[in-house]
Amino acid sequence: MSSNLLLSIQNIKKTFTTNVKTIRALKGVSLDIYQGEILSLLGVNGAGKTTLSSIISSLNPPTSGDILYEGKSIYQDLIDYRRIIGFCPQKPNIDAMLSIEENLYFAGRYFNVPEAEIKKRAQLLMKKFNLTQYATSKGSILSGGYKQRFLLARTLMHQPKIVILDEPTVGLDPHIRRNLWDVIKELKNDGVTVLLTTHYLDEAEYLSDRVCILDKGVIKLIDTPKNLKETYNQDNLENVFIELIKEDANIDEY
Amino acid sequence: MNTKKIYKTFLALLYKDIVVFNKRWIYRSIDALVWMIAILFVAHYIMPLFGITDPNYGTFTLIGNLAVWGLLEMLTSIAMFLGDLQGDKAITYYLSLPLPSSMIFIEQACASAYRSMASSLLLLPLGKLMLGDSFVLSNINWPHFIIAFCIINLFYGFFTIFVASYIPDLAALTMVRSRIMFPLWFLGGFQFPWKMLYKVCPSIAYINLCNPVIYIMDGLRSTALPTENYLPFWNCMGMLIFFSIIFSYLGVKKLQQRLDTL
Repeated sequence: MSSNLLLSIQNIKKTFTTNVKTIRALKGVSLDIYQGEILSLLGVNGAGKTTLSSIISSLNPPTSGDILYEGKSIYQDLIDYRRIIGFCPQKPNIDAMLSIEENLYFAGRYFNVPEAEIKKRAQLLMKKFNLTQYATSKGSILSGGYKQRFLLARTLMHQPKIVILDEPTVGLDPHIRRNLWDVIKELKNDGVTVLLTTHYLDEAEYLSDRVCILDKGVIKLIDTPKNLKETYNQDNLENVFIELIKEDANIDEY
Repeated sequence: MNTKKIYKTFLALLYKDIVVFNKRWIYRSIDALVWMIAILFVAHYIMPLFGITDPNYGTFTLIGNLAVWGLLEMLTSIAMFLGDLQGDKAITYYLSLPLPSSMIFIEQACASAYRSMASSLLLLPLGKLMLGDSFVLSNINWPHFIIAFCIINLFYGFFTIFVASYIPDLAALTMVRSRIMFPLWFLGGFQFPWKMLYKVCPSIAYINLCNPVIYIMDGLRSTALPTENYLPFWNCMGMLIFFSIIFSYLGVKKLQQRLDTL
């Protein structure tokens, strides 16, 4: 697997300082992300998963540590690194005054996709995500599920190598969630590496090649869902997670 | 780092904001027209009844209000910016684009400048229509007028990101209006040229040189009214460029710090 190493996250620390206190959100996180895998970041609120995914997306800088892409620090040429990243935010921030296809065209232009390629790519993605019927509609009329589909389509306009999904199915109906899962699986089939931040353990179990459980700013466990279930002798990831929390509570009490 | 690609991304983002605004252009232009009609009606038809008979008063008012429209538009731009931070956070998507974050904020300033320029385009023709012969278009130094119009609105754009960077949330917007914009506007030569203030009270006039709005008012008015009454045109433009650089630097730094970006 090491030959397919895409990103190497090395001892990332992140501290937030406010007027009243200092929060150590990440206390030295190291992990490798491999080409074509789906890696889920799990953890309770405040575990540090959104902070970590924001740092990997290059939205925020780490306080210390480094991220290597193909062996080179991303901070040496951040702009080039951003060209291979597709960031899909949690909030459906579609430009409401533009139609769906206009939104996609602009997403392509931001990443310097050639103009001739942009239209083809937008048509392809709208077809893939069942958005063709809404091509000329404004983004504001889309339902939650379609907005999320649109965000994914927008993220893929420049054919990124790594897609970072920040809680993509939060607040969606179960059948729409399932539908999006299939879309995310397809990304993997297309060779895209997916970093998924989620609260839903069933989602992580269904989609992930590996899950990374964060707790209080450190990696508690990182393994395949299958191995984790075997290790903890549980039939699903949710029970593994509950076991882990119990362990933590016992340690805290002790 | 490929500078040409960065430049293209910047322009694509700016073009997107222009396209978005153009879809609303007519509504914002109507806002500006309604505002100007009310002001010119009072200045041109009612004020003479109170003894203001200077033939240039209409032009003085028109140009002054044209100059100040961008200041009012700033409120809209600041509200949009803060609304986004508190709501959909489109800014997080833009910050993930292959552009340095400083250029994202500068693009926001340029987009804000475009919005105030575009929405005030109809004000001059309206002024001619309402003021008639008392507003002589041939008296305008057009090259200077166009330069001033662009520099003034760019200044407003950079001032927008500076102010927005320090405002915690939408609720604080009333504070911006009453504590920042209104004093700058009314003490900034909206109803008097700087030289007139200097004659009456030199000390206040000197303090007022720290108010960028004085350069906006005198600078734009000097392009359409007798120049000897106003501060020299190029001095005004120089000062506005100076203030733009200062506000853009401070605004970008503060936003980078506030949004914790690279």
